[in-house]
Amino acid sequence: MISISNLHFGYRKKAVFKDLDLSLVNGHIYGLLGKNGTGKSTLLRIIAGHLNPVEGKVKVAGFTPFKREPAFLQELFLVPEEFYLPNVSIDKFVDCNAGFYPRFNHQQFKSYLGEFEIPVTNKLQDMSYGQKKKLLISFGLACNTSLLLMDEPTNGLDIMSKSQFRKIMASVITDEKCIVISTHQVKDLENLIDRITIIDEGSILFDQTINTISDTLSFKISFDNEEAKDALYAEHSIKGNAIIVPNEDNEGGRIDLEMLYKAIIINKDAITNQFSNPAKTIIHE
Amino acid sequence: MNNTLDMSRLMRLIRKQWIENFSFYGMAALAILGIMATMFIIWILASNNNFHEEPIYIIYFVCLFLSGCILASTAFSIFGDKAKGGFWLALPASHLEKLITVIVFNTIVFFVVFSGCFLLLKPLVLAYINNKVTTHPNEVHFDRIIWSNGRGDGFREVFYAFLYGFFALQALYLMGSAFFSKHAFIKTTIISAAILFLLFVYVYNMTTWLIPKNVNTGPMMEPTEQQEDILTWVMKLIWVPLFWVITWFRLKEKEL
Repeated sequence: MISISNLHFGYRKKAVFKDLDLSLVNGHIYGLLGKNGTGKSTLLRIIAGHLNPVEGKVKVAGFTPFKREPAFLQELFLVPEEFYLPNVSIDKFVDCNAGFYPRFNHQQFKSYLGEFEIPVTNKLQDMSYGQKKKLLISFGLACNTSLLLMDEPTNGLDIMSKSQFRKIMASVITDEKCIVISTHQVKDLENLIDRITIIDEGSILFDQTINTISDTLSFKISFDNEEAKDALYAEHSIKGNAIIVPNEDNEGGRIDLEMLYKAIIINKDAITNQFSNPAKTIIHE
Repeated sequence: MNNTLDMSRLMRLIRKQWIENFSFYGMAALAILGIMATMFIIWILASNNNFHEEPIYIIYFVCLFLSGCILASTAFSIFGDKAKGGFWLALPASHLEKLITVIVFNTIVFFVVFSGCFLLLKPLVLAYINNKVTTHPNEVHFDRIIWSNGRGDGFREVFYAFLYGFFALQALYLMGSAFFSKHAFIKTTIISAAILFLLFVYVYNMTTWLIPKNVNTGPMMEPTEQQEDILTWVMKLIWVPLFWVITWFRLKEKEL
């Protein structure tokens, strides 16, 4: 679906990507993680064709995104962090925009609106930021494009809406779809994504599937200080020590994305070595 | 699928533009009507019972040039707003279809609505003046325009020349708005004036260098009447398509 090779991009004096390679395929929900200003949104905008790479090759479903051909645009929907909606009713908005997406499904759209509890009689400008965002997410999902890009989709959503979001997202993925969610709110993506890509300093810091992570690392609470000392990563808390250790016993367990993210950011080598070479590097916070 | 121009997609885009901006267009038309009516009232009051028809058309062209160029320079102001610009770029339609939609509303619909407002007000103004002339024939004078004097340089020719000029200038400001996301009107005005000035200086210098004073250029330098006509038509008609094509290329390479 998405193939990026040797990507170089920058804004005037600031280089954002240096020789970035990435390949994403259909049938998965990808989590694009990274600190603020590391280029997550920029990468989504390059994939969506809003920005032109300085160097390198970007292909999305066989198209060159920056050409912004209608055949490409109707296969992609971007839910940006900062978005615009015209001042019309929901019905008018759908009436004006749905026709551009050949697989738009009105029933699905109504069902998502219902799940997000958005009143259909509202004019878009009378809605709150969160309601507008949920409407845009509902519209994007109902477009049934093969690629759905979401930039910080849970920003501005309340706790219930975040839970509804996760539920809806988990139900929409099919073998023909590729969903990329960029966020720095790592917790919001738990139990949703099946591959994590972390960007830092203009390149890919970490890129693994949830299954591989689960097979390689074990996330647990330990009251044993010796075990915490030997862990790949450890956080002290009132409940005990939250630790990441190599999954030597093949235990299946829940991945704590936030902890994994912190572990990778603080000491990349300790974690990434486990995926290529099971040597231990100990780090404590 | 035609990725350059598809009529059904274009119609969908025009319909979307109309539905989403209907109230703005309505208010803009009312504003034009109000401004033009105010200008006519000021003119009637200032004319002191000595009316000439030309100022009616001067008001028409001053308002047309000003409002048309300001509107055109806001045509792509959406690019100054990442959210709006992104929404526009992501819409599954080609750059050509998007440009045509902008031209339809900013140039064609604007011109029709503007001229419609003028044609609505002009008979009222003329009726008022004619009534004054009829009731006070010795105090009120009204000089009408002679549209054609048979020599080819009557008011009709001037009127059409201004119309060509308007469409060319509007296309220039439309192009400017695709280049400058902010303050497009001012930037386009300054840059166009600077280019025009430099071009004038260049042509003047080249002419004085190529043709020294007191040199008889002879008939070799004189274009034939036919060549002159062709050149005049080219100079009249080339600007609008030229600026639109540049705008199209600019939209294709636009980044947000």
